[in-house]
Amino acid sequence: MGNHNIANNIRSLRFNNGEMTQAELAEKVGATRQTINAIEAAKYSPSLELALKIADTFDVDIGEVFWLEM
Amino acid sequence: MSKQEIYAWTSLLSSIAILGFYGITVYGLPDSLSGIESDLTSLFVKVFLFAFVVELAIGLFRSKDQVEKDERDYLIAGRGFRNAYYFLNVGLIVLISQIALGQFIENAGIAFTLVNILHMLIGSLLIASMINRATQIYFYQKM
Repeated sequence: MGNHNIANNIRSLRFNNGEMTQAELAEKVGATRQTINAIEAAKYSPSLELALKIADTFDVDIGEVFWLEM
Repeated sequence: MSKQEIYAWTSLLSSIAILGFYGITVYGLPDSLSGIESDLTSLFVKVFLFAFVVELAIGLFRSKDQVEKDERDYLIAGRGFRNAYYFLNVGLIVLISQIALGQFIENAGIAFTLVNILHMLIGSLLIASMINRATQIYFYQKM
């Protein structure tokens, strides 16, 4: 597909939301902790549904969580 | 390591153990290695039992709150099945070719007997299972 990486700032959003752990975020969005860890490390690009769920958990727009890295 | 990744490891170990045990039972080892045949058989049985016990323990101690499987697991499982399917396709084409050749060649020998083809089919299925799990492990490490 694309040559761009999808970057994110989930880690800082977690810490700004009461130091939420990866496991807590995973439970809220219905994913495994390993998947959240892979997304944070930009090793795995989530589906649109999961990305929207993550953004919704932090109550921010999806663009504030994920963006294309040129 | 996620539960699905542990399952991939245990299933890979089980497949290796079953294939090894099956291979030794059916074909045996060369004469030079016949001394270690019983040790090797015992090792394969132990590996299989170990993998079985690990899977059982994970199944018994799973937390109800935790998500067992998500989209990443399904994606990785799909890639594993795809590679196993490719291997099985090649294996089946080789086997069908052997059966077809067996119809035309007289004195075809042991390679074309029905029993030998059955052994090859079982071997192909076990190797396909190993390819499936090895692919999954690779992608669990990669992403």
